[in-house]
Amino acid sequence: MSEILPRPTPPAVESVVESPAGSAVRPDPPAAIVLAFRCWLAGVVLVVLALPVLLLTGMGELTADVWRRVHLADPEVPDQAHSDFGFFLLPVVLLVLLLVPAWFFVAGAMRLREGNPAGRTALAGLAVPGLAFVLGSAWSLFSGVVFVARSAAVVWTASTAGVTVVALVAMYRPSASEYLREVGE
Amino acid sequence: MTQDPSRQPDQPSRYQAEQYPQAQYPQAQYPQAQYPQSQYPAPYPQGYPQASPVHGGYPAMRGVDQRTVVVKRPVAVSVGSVFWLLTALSWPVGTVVRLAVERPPSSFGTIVTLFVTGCLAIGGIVGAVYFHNGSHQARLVLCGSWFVVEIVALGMLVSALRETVEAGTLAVLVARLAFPLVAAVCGFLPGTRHHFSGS
Repeated sequence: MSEILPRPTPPAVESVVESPAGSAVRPDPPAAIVLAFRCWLAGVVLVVLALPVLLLTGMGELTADVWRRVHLADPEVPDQAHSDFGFFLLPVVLLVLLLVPAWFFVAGAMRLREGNPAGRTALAGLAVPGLAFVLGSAWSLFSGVVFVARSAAVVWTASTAGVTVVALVAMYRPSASEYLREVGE
Repeated sequence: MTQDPSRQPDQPSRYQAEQYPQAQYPQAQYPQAQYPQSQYPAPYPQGYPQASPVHGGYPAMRGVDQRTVVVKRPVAVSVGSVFWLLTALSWPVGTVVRLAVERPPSSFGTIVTLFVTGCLAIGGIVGAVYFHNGSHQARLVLCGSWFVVEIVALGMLVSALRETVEAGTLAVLVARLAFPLVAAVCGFLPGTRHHFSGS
């Protein structure tokens, strides 16, 4: 004997996305998580790509300063660069070196977007050396240790520190915490 | 109550069709075939409680055992976790120690070195925590990534030994080489396999 079946109801939540397995549902990340994710990626781009390019703009002054110091230490050395090619490798070396911490930031941001609470914890920890690096770089840019245009240094420092702080605040918004609590369990 | 004699047993009644016009009756569309059950035995015992998926639990255990059975962490894993933490901290702390001992002139390279080693430490600490909690991926990733870092540490030690080196600097360079070796060996000692079998 057949039973009376209830009327099938359409899915109430339109934002749910089925996983590839089709068994579990995962809500879309809230705007705060998306904002934090994009800000972390922007910070990575600003540090890994923009900073070496920024250093390239002051390479002429750096070359002249190094050769002036060499000449002061040993007057036999002429006060002129024989080959400046080595100096132009410095930003490339810096870029390769900065790819190591960049990988940690990108991995943490992707975990955060997936809803893994450990990603947020790791990013909060990475924010400490990150902000310290921005402050140290700002000191280097403004004190003459690194030769760059002052306006470019101001823009780089403000934008990098800004996106870092925004990302840090956004991933601790209540909606972000609720998303991590819901998906992470 | 009278029934329509022309209605088939799997068809809905008139009342059901009026109240639920869009309802799907899978019994009517897909009548269940009657297979001889004795020829197709179930792949697992039917009367036993099945393992329930517990996040972070051990798949070989039933759901109730996930909360009532305590799996003792091997001592080698605990020692390995401590050494992975020491390995992670040896890079930023070692950089600070070298700066205090050698007192080089302040430069942008020092700031970059502190930043890179600081991020390396954060990644190492996260990996050590996962290692401590029984993640076999963390065990492999820690060994693989630190193999690359060990090459850098070995190069730094060899270049430092070519000239006069301070005792503090030498201690830092040796510690960076020794800590991950001890941690990797501890993570693969006999008796540690079951700790990583849950992931």
